[in-house]
Amino acid sequence: MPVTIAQAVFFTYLFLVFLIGVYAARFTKYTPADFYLADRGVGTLVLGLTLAATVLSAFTVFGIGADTSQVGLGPFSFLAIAAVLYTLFFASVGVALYRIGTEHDIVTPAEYIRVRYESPLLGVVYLTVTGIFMLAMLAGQLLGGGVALDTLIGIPFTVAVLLMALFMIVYIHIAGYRGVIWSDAVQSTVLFAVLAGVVAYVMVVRDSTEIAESAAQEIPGLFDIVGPAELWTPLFVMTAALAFAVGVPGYPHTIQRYFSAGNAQIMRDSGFLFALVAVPIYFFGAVLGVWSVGVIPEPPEPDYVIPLLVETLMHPVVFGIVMAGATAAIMSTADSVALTMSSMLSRDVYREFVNPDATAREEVRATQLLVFLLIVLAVALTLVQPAGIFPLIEFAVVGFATTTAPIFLGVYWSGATKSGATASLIFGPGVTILLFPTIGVIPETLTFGMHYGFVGVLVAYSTFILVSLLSRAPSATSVSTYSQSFWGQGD
Amino acid sequence: MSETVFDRIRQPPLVRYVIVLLVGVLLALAAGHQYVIADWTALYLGLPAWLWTQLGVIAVLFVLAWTAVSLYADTTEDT
Repeated sequence: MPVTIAQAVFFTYLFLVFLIGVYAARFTKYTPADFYLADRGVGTLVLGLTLAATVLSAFTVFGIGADTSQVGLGPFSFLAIAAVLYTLFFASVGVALYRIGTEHDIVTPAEYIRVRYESPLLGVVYLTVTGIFMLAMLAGQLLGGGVALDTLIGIPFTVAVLLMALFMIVYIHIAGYRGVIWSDAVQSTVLFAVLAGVVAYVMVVRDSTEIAESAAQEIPGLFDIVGPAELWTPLFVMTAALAFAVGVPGYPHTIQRYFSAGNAQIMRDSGFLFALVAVPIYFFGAVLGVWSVGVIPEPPEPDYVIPLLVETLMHPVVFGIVMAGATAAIMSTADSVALTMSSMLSRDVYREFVNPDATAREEVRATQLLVFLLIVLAVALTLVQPAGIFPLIEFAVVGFATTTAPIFLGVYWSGATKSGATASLIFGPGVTILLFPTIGVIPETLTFGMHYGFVGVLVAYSTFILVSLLSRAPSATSVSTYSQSFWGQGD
Repeated sequence: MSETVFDRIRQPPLVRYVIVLLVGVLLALAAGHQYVIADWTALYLGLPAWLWTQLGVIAVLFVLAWTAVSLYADTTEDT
């Protein structure tokens, strides 16, 4: 079977990512600080771009377009507001965790939980709960990418999934975090440039207003601020934005990036760089989604309206680059999740419970093996093809949000307790799972018009505060060592 | 040299109130602008006027966030 132009572009792109990993491996030392955090020396540009690449996933490339082509531009409103709010979290809790991590050689979020609350078991609870969402996120990315590559450029699903998995295993294995973040920097740049180019093409070369008018005729209300179904009320937009604003800075793989910043100023600046890259990408995805209705009123695959729009309007090389950009978004999220989860398993389970005398090299070797096993597990899940890929990723994002109370409040509040953290990690995610529309155990009416993830966050935080107030805090020495005052000295 | 108003707002506790005020204005603007621009549906370059306006509002939100973060960084610099 001859290779198409789009397939050739895709394979070239994978090879480019592989070369970046090989190059990064030349600088990699096999110590935990270097393999997990690039020796805590990441600068503003790379940190900002890796944050963007990690956060922007299959959800961004396919999900936003699929959403906006049906529900209007509301997803952009809440994602853009959330992106502004992320900067506040990065500058406050991100900087505080950067400082604590640097001062105490903490390299994983589970390790922070373990030492902050003086409870190795709580570290395992955190790892287990976030692990559910991380595995769902990892499998979700591979599934989204595999189906898209199969449907759109004719690479068989299994081959596509195995190829992405194989390339990730190799470049994480040889280059660790440095390989991940360098390839992320390239991948977010590719994604930004590709989507910007397509939007500019439609605006300048095509008649975007005529396309939009056709779309508005096809779906009345598509360009209204609340959307055709009047879903995107200010209350819904703000609660969705707040749920995401707590969720994204609380991803375990985002928290690991706080620990890797070169200094506090870099942490703050990279948060803004991230948001300045993410907002335009959200914008491009959203507008391409609504425009697609004017060009392809009845798409054969509604989930892939952006690639289908590009395939219809532009040259096959551009289509191949868009698919490479989509793969970039998918792999850059999946690789970060795989490395963070395996480093937590290695450091907070293997070294803590299995082999406390492990050398640094042995710990890294365990991480390399775990990366392989985790990706194999995710591939196995992916090949089963569970349904509902995009709701699943959204579920993972808000699920992460419900695990953040012990981290975020634990950084600033000396009264935070192990019992509060445990209860929060059980009830917050638990309520979110029961509210998840696909499961629907708790009826949607009980969210009172709010995003269900925001309700889960409210439960997680209120449980954490209430139970902490009723229980005994860790020793003052421990708290002062692993916490920071919100307002600085003299507070 | 005499102390300016910018020097004074950088000193605790005033700086804390300023930061809280900035974040409050940011949230109010993020929510409130949606009510004001809801009816601006005319299309320009294929996008509704409310969306172009919202991009401007997002830019203002960034400025407010940057200002709040800069002031906050000053208060926590030595910790």
